[in-house]
Amino acid sequence: MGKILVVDDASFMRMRSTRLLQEAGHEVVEAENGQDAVARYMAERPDLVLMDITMPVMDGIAATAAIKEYDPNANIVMVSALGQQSMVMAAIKAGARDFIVKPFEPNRVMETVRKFVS
Amino acid sequence: MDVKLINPFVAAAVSVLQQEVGGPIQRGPLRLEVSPLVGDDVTVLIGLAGGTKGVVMLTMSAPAVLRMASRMAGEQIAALDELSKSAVAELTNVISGQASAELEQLGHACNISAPTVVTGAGAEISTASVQRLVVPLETPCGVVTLHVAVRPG
Repeated sequence: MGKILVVDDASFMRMRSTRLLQEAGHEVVEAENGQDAVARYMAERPDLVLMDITMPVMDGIAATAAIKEYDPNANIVMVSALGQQSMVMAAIKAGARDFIVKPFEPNRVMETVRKFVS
Repeated sequence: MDVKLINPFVAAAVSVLQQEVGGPIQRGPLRLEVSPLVGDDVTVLIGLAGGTKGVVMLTMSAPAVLRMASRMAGEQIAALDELSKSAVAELTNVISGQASAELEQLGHACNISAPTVVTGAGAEISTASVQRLVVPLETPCGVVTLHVAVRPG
C-alpha cells in the first residue's frame, strides 16, 4: 500500500477520493490548491499524486510542473472535468503520467492507482 | 442563439446526472428567457471564456441538493453545508468540462471558471441581453434546472 496525495479544491471530491483510497488500504494526504500541493509533496513525498486542474491560488498544471522540477520521478495523474485535448496535452507536457476525466469512476481511479502504487 | 453551442451542455447535463445520481433523467420543455434568472435554494454558476463566452448555471431546491449529494457520496448527507454544496458545484463543473471538450471538437474551445455557489432562493442573476436557454431536468432527486447563456467568442 502507498501514500497518495489528493489535490482538489472541492471538499466533496477530496472526501470521495480519500474514502475510496483509504478503503483500499492507502494512506492519504490532502491539499486544496496547487501551492498547497507542492508544499505537501515536499513534506510527505507521496508515491502518487491525484491532481485536479482548475483550482485557486495555483492550478494543477503549474503545480505539476513545480513538483516535477523538484522531483522528476514524481508520479502525477490528473483528475479533471476538463477533457479537452489541449488540456490533456498541457498536463502531459507539464509532466503528468496519466489523465482521468471526471465524472468520478471508482474503478477507473483504482485501476490507475494500481499502475503506480503496488 | 446558436444551437451548436447549446447542445453540448444539455447532452452533458443529462449524461452526467444519469451517471452521478442515477436515471432516468427526463428533459422538460425548453424555453428561452432574457429576464434575470430567479434562483432556487442553491444556484451554481460557471463562466466560459475563449471561443465560447457566457455562463452555465444549475439551480435546485435544498432537498434536491441533499438527495443528490447523498447519492453521490453513497451516504446520507442531511445538512446544506459546504460539503453538500461542493457536491453540486462539482456536478456543474463536470457538466461544463464535458461540454467544453465537445465544443473544442466543434472549433469553439473555451476555458471554464471554478464554480461559484449562490445560496438563498430568490437571488436574481442577470445575463444582460444574452438569451438563456432554460432546461428543466427531472431527476430521481428532484428538478434541476439548467440555464445556458452562451455566444461565440
